[in-house]
Amino acid sequence: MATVTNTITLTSNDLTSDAISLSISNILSATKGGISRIPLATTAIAGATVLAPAAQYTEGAKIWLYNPAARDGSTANDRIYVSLSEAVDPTTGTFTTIMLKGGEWALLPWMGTTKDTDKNLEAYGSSGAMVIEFGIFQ
Amino acid sequence: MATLNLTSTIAASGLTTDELSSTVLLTNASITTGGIQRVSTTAVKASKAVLLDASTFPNPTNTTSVYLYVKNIGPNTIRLSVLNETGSNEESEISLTAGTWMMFPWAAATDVTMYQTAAGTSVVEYGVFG
Repeated sequence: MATVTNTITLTSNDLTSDAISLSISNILSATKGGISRIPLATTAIAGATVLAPAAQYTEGAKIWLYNPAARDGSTANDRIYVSLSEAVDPTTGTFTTIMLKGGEWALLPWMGTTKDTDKNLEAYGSSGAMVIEFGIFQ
Repeated sequence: MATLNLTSTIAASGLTTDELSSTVLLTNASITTGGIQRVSTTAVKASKAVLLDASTFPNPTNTTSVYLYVKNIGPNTIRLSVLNETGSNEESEISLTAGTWMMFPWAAATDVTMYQTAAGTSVVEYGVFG
């Protein structure tokens, strides 16, 4: 059994009257997973790249998502969209996905098969040739 | 404007032939609001509670972002709907068992709702920075 330690540190010296400094960790006993960079095949949910098949994971899996692109700042061309439901709501568009601009990351649990319906974890980019760094541990 | 520094560190031993060690720093100097607080909830699936009212937060733009941190203090598992999940489907929900947490950029387009998977009272720590 492998040991995976996830830690996030959140600091700000000038947001509130008192400085904010938060550091928390989780230690996970894992039997499978890893980190890799994956090219994204599409710029829409149709045909989006499967990052993780739901059938292989259950509640308690941890996922790491990182957009290594440089932050654009003036256009929306640096974005990666990650869907937990293999879909994008047509009425609200990309708001139904986790959106990562260049340099942004996310760390969160994923339920895999422990849902009403199994849905793979999928991603697509806002422009061609986007790459996501993806990690999963369970 | 304030500066927010978010650092993620992942370290794994015994998972792959070579040990994993990844650290990524995200700095955002355009933060104007935020903080960390705790709330309690008795909500269950049939009566979800609103943790965050999206209308009180600005949507991210090309130059701004909103970051959401949530930790389940316990004791029950908490499930959160953060991605415009307005029905009762669990496909887009995120499950936080007691003691676990998450952080990701939030679109702030629809409310974040939450419920416990068992009856009782749980405590949730959260922070929104945007």
